[in-house]
Order: sequence, then C-alpha cells, then structure tokens
Amino acid sequence: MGRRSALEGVRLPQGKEPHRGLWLDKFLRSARREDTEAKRVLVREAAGVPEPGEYRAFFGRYRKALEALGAELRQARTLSRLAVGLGGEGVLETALTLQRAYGVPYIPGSALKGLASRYAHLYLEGEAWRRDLARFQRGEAQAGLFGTTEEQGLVVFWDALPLPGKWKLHPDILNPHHPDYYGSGEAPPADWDSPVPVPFLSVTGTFLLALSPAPGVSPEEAGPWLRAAWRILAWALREEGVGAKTSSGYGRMALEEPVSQGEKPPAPGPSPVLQDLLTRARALSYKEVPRFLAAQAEAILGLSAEEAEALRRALEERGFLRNLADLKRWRKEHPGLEGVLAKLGLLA
Amino acid sequence: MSHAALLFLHALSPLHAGTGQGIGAIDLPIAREKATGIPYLPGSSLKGVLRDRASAWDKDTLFAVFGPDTESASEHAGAVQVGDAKLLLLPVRSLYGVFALVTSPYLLERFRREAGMAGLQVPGVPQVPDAEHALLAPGSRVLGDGGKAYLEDLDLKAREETGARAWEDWLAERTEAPVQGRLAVVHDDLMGFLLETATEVVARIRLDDETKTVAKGALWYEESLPAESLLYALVRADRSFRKGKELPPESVWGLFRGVLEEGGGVLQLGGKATVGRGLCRIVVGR
Repeated sequence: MGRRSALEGVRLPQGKEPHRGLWLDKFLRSARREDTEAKRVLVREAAGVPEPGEYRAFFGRYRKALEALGAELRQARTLSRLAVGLGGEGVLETALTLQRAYGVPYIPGSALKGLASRYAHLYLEGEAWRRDLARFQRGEAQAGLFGTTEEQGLVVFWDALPLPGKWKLHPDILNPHHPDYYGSGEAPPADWDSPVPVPFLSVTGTFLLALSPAPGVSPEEAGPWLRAAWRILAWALREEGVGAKTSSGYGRMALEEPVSQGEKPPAPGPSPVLQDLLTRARALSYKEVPRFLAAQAEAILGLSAEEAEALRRALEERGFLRNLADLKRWRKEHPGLEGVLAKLGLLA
Repeated sequence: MSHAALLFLHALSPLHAGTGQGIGAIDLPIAREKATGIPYLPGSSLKGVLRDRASAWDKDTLFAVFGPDTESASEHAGAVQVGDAKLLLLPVRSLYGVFALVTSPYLLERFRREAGMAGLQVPGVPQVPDAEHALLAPGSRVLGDGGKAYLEDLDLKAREETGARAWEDWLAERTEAPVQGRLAVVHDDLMGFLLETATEVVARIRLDDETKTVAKGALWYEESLPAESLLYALVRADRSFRKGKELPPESVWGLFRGVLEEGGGVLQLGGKATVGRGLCRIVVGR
C-alpha cells in the first residue's frame, strides 16, 4: 500500500493540536495542478489551526536564553500582511516559513540580515556600505556588520518569533490573469484569458526581533554596530518590507523602540533623528561630506544644541572638518549649507 | 580518580553542526557519526566555546583546565575531556500533539551506558517489536484516532507502555525539554530513516540587488537539528597536569562547571551563528 493511499482517510484532527506545517506539507487531497479548490481548502484548514498550548513556554525559554546571551530585543508590528518563504518547496508551491517544532510563522534571521545588508547597500551614503555580491566584495561597514566569506559579521540576527497569541494567519490569494503572457511571453495578454487563483498563507502580528554580538565579540566592540543594525532594520522594515511580494505592499513592519527595563525612564539617549545622522556619518567618505550635509540640512537644523554638538564631534572624530578652505568651498558649491554649518558651530 | 558528569544540551534554535560542503542533495549537511548516521556536535565545539568564556581566568588555571595554547600543546593535556554531544531526542512533526520527541532503543541504550559512567540511574530501555510500532506513554498527546501515531507521513501502530512514561518523567525532571506526553520510542531502523529525512532542511537564497529576484546559482540547502532537539555529552575532569598548578579532579570540575553555568548555561554552538543558529541551554545531569 502506497503512502498516499495509507493516509487517504486521515482528516485534520480537531482539538488535538495538529501540526500546521505537517498538514500543509503532506496532506493535500489532490495533487492535480489545476485543482485550486483542494489547495484553497488546505490553506483555509492550515490557517485555522490554533497556536499550540506549549508554544508560550517555548517562547519564554527562547526569550530568556537570548537575554542571557546579552541580546537586545525589540518588537516589530506588521503594518501590512507578511509572506516569508513564499518560494519554499511544498505541495502548494507557495509556502510560508513555519517554525519546525511548533508550526508558528516566523521571520528567519537570515531574511532580516539579508534585508538589512541590501538596504544599506542601496540607500546609505558612503562607499563603506556598498557591496558587490557577484564578486564577493563588501565595503568596510558591510564587512563589519554582515561579514565576508573570510570573516563573520559582528552581529547575530536571530529568528523573529511571533509573540504568543499576538499573531494571525490569513488565507490569501495570488491571481495572475495572463499566465501565458507572464510565463512564456509569447501570447499577448487578452480579455479572454482565465484568471488562475493560487492560494497562499500570509500573517499579521507582532514579532520579537533580537540582535546580539556574534560569538567571541565583546559587547563594547559590537555596541555601535548593534545600534547601526537597529537603525537600518527600522528603515528597511518600514520602507522596503521583509519577505515576498513587497512590491505589492506586503511585509511592511514598524520596529518599536526598546522598552525601558526599570521603573524610571532611562537617561535620554540620542534621539532617533540624531541616531540616523550618526549612523550615516559613520560610513561617509570625505568627498561625500558636503552632499550629506546638504541633503540632511532639514534634519540637522532641527537638532538641539547638544545634538548638533554630538554630530559635529562625530564628524570631527573622522577628521572631516579640519580643512577650513574646504569648508569655505562647500559653502559656495552647496547653497543652503550656510545654515547647516552655522548650526554645527563651524562658521567662525 | 577522575570526576565524570553528563551534560544535557537543549537546542532552542536550529543547531547546525556542519561538516562543510556536502556532495548530496543538501549543500550544507550536519555532521553524523560515520558508522551509525546519528547526528552529533563535536566535543571540541563545546569545549572551544567554554574555553573562550574562561579567557578572563589567569593563564595557569586556564591552561591547567583547558590545556595550553596551540604552540605549546605538547607540554601537557588539559584536565577536562569533553565528549561529543550525541542526539537523544529528535522533534518530529506529528499530526496529533504538534510534535513528538522521538528516540529508539539503541539511542536510549547508548545514553544509559554514558549516564552510568556519570553515576546516573536511568529507567530500563523498552523494546520495540518492529518498524511499524511506536511506544508512547499512556495517554500520550501524540496518540491519534484508531490507536495510531502519525509522525511526518508515517502511520504507526501506537502501543501505550509505562516504560515510556518512566523515561518522560526522568527526562522532564532533569531538563526543560517538553517531553511530557510527547516521547515516542520507535524501532532503530525507523529511527535511522527519521534521522535522514526528518531533520530541518531550509532553502537559503541570495537576492540580486537590482532585480530583487534570486541571483543565479544562489540557492543552497542547509540542514540542522530543529529547536527542541535534546543531545547529551559526557565530560570527564582529571587532576591537572600543569606543573605548579596541581588541582584535584573535583576542583577542575568545579571550575569547568562554573564557566558552564555562568549566564544560565546558555551558549551559542555550531555553525551559521550570525543568522541565529545554535542557541542552546546546557544543564548538568543529576
């Protein structure tokens, strides 16, 4: 008796904690490609499987262990639906990444790390953030934060598990109308093409993100890199989105600021705006400085006096503000830089 | 006389104890014992992480316990021997009860042997008649309708035995593994099959920066032991061999245990660390 016929009579057990991922992977009734009804039923059944009772305890152990390792934890909330691992293998051809033991959806650390690295390459100023993956080359800041083939990065991006009871799966649908046109490109798209509904699962909810110094890296050494990584993640999750179908608006998330541990609010750290500026300044090369200052004029003018001082110190530490002749030239070349330089106390 | 102890190693994120490049369908397989195919984490991996933690000690103590640096490795051995961490319980997806923690008579027998060396008394090893059967504790949550257990796509005849319950109780008392109502003892042949096919295999990809589609040739498969796997390792502490730093086995063990239990016994082990693999909690078996 073949496996498939042995399992034919099996129905999704009610109230007995079935494994969502197993049900999705192995229990599709009909394997015919065009049988979308069977897939739709499977997706709906899988979305309806409740969170296992013991997941809460596992989440607690995971969180406690991360804290013991010195990881920084922050919550991120989905702003739209999220589909991670859509290209994974499975009978649906549209998988969702599910945690192996408990079958809950999660965002793999590798997805977060890849997102951050790509975002830094595309949107941050400075050669240090560039990368050329085809040639295995990375700028200094890329190499430090994300590592190279020779040396590991300084920061660990942990798998982001959903907060117990704070997430929901949705039966979702992709609906290409002109499969022949998209597939082969030979047939023109036409009104009489039939839409092909493809069911898949997406998720909304709150996830626990964690970053920590890589093994063997001291917290002091990793500190600035961790801060940079959080900033980049916050930008990338909000603007780019994580997972699949981000061009259709999927995967946007809001990263929350760290919750204060004690009763009293902690001493005010650098504001998010200043942190952004400092992170960007970290990776600048000298010739990019005037453009950076001009582009960020609005943000810089909005800083408090102490914050402006902090930014100036950061720029000075990198040896950027020594050449007074250059400062003068920048002012000429970039109108509007005058106010910025005044704010930074650089107009003698 | 030396002091022996058994460590339980409980994985809280997927554990990738790699071997480098593989030649099979999986690009990055996990390490397995040559003869038995049982996954393991090399003792050197565990010892290395702990040695790193102990680097704040004075040099004499560090060298006495963990052995001298590589250049002077011929001077004397370290006083602590850390055995390979071998798999005891593998989480396998179950149609009932979310997942089962699966083991087999051979795995239990080996565990019994090593636990005995560390002076631990374990329950008797139950026997499984054939590869069609699974032994469960009475009232197990893995037990499905029709007296069957469904592990992955295998349907097994379930047999409820108190022998399985004894192991559940024994392990639950010593570790945080969620073993209550979840242990399944299967035949060694079936265990071998599950060890090959029921590990966690994830496809990793790299996206092209410009097109945001998968870059050419940038798809690879990585294998790991899933979170909630339970492994164990035998550790032996000897007297120290270092001149001028004579320590009895008990002191060596005390030092080792101290560094192990620092930070709640949480360590990151194995490969692929920067994407969050290998979060483990280690407890000393009592």
